[in-house]
Amino acid sequence: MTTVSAEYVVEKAQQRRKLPPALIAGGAVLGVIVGLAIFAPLVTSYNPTTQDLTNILAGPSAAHWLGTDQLGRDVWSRLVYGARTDLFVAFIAVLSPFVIGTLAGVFAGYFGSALDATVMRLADVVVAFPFYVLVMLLVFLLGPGTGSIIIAITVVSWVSYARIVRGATLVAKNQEYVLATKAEGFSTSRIVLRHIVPNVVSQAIVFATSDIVLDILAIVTLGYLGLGIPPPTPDWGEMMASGQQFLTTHWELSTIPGIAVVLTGLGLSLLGDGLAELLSVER
Amino acid sequence: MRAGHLVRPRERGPALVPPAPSGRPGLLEVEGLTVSVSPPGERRRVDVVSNVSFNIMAGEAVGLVGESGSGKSLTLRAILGLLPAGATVKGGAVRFEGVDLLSGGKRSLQRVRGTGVTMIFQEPMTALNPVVRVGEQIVDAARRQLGWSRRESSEHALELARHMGIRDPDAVLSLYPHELSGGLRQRVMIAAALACQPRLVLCDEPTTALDVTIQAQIVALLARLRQESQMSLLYVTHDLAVVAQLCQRLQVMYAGSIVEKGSVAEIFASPRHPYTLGLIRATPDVHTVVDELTGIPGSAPHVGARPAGCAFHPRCSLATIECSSGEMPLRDLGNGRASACIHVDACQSAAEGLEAVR
Amino acid sequence: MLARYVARRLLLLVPVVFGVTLLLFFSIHLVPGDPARSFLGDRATPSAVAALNKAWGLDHPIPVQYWLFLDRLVHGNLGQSLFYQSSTAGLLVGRLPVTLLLLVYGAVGSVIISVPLATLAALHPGGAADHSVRVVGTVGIGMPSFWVGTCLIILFGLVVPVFPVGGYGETWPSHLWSLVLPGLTIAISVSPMLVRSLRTSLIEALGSDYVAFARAKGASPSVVLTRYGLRNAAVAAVSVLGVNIGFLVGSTVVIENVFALPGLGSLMVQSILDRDFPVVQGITLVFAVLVVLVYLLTDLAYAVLDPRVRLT
Repeated sequence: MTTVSAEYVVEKAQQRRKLPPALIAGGAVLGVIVGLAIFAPLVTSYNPTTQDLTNILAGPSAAHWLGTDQLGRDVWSRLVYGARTDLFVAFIAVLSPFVIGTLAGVFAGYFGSALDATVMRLADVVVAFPFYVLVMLLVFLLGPGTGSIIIAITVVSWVSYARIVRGATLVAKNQEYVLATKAEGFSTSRIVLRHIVPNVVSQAIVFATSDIVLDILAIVTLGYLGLGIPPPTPDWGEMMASGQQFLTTHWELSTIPGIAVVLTGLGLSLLGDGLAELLSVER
Repeated sequence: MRAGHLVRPRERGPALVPPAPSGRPGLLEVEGLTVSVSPPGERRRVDVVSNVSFNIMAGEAVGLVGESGSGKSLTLRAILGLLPAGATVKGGAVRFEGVDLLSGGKRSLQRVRGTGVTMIFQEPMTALNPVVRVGEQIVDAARRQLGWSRRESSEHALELARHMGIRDPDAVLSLYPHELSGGLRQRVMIAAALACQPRLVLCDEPTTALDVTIQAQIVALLARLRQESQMSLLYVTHDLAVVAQLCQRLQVMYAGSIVEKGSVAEIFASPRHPYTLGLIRATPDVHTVVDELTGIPGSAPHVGARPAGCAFHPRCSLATIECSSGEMPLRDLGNGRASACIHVDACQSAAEGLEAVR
Repeated sequence: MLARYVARRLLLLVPVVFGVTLLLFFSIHLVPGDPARSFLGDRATPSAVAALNKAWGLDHPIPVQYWLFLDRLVHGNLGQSLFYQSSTAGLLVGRLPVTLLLLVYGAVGSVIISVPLATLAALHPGGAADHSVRVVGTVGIGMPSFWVGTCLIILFGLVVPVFPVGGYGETWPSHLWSLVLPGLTIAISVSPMLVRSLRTSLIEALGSDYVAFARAKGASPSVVLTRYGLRNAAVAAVSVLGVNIGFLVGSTVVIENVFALPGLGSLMVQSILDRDFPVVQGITLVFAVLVVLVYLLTDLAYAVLDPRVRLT
């Protein structure tokens, strides 16, 4: 019997070393995009906000790889700097609900009773609103700007993390080893931090990889509707919106940023699939 | 409508063919059947049923006995082409009335299922569709195959239910599976399986999930149905007592292979494989139903961790060094008996002790 | 029994509805500074600001304000639009049918797209069709709905002009016709999610014992797929659609703007840009009520489709 289980452990370890192909593919796609965003000044030769009204709506050329927009700004520069803006905002907008939701879920699941009831009723109220509607309402109330967008997304999306983590916590807290540490008289904070959180956080991480796709979509959508990051800061959504008036003559203006969004989403989804496989979490 | 449906002369199809004359190999022939799966999380494939051969004559009841994980359920599923995702037939042949079911594709399987061979599952709760009324489930397949009208099908459903000893069938048939007791559910499943009057019924531990008293009722029901309709049974179980009640012949499976076969009476009197001996010892009295096997030290090997040589040797008290390597094929002992044990004589003397205990 | 079930469900909604009204009530207090001043703009006279504060009841203590707010809601009074200078409720009632119709288009369209794709994928998990569906879904889940709409406009409005690419038309037939592209856009945006869940539940159903038993009984492949596979997966599909109603509504809000449809979504965006608080608040309320009602209907549909759900 012992030999069998030892063999099994060895095989498992060998499997670990081989990363899921989805993880590698997603990492590669995302790596390129994030790389471009970080090194934006190095890969572009124009300031994304500099207008050149003598050269508007120019097609692709050696000087302007993707042409210029209606104000003569370089589309490639705006695309790359747009990645910078949108990815950064999305990253913060996924991090803060991740932290808040995970904590709320752990505490609600572990302590139960009134705290649990309050958190879950609050979650019920939030999901009674469609995601976009509540985000738009909050951005409207708080005024335009990056901070409002992040707060709005946080208020709405902590719920999913809280629900997932609460469920996982309910399972984890009744596991024998947790009950055992409890019996041994370890402090509650130690049990929660050392035994519960590490066990439930992987599910939250995997969810975060699909949640960040939704957040990017939300940020871009707000930009498209004119409720997002205020111009002239380059933002993919705003680019697509302003390109729409030129659909008949310059359809590429509003489709190219969309392709950038789709590629980013694809990279993140693949990364999420790979991560789920690696952490063996059901998606 | 006395006892009705099941004993009525068959109306159509190959069922009119008389039972196989003696000399013909039999109703069902399984030859060198090998089934492989991938253990969870692994790429490699391992054989969970290896080189299994047996046949079943018309009207005969054969027991297939082994612990869970011995491959007996997969053998049944392979016969009907119902292997779960991930399990595949690696080799061998399955012939029903001479028609190959493995190489014949979906058509030949489809033609045989229901009317020729059918299967009763272990857990009627999961084998019945939870969102369809049981009355419909009894006849939905037969209705298409036998071309019954709506009215005919509901009459047949009632008749079948009555024949399965279901009291108040009118009420029962309009219920959903979760509203029935375990015993009733199993009767419903048997009714559904027998709706097309199959000639061979594969039973996958149909009583394991039931209470002891209900188990006895279902076994009695199967025995009665078999007598009335002359259908053949292949009965998978880990319960030797049930085999003693229902079957004429017995084959014992361990870790994916048949290790012993022969007539029930002879094997019970004098087993020729230490594993069979252990099973019989674990059953205090073959007429008493036991819930689980006890008495054989250790546990069956895990999938993909089959020991070399005789798979049973790590748990066997008669094992010698020769047992731990080489192939262990079934050896013919004459009189329809066979064993895979290379220490048949030692086993026989150990079995005499068994008689003494009795 | 069904009535009692409904009553119990409704009772469970009470805290949610209470929370929704509370959140909407407090929303005005989230506005930095003096709300009335903020919405009326810098050029508004102090008397106009004072009048609006009085009209919104902001001169009362908070509990009284909330009471007045509830009282107004119960009487169907959502306040006076700042921009249109007319009753918000009346404004919304005029816009609601477009949005509801578009939602129906989107829901029906997504089912028409998802069920065949999920079936194709689930019949041979890991096969070529499954992989293709999965790839399409992974790409699709990252597509902004308005971008899908833009692409459809380019394709069906400019390249192959068959469908109107904007507006709602004047007559009923033209209404229905003009919603085809927007509806398709919503359906395409919602489908990846739906396909994913449907595929999972269909694979589960097709791998179940009851399907194996149906095959053993000799049921034909089409009977197995429809009565055993899809019938059981439909139960799951209903709840998936129900849970994602918020997503569906969100897409509708965005898509109305892409296709310039006179629904609640385009009104909401316009009112945000006009800083017309009562209208934004009213639309949010309508959408929340819509979502809560759909949740309720989903529960009921689930109870009807799945006899195992206890109606107590």
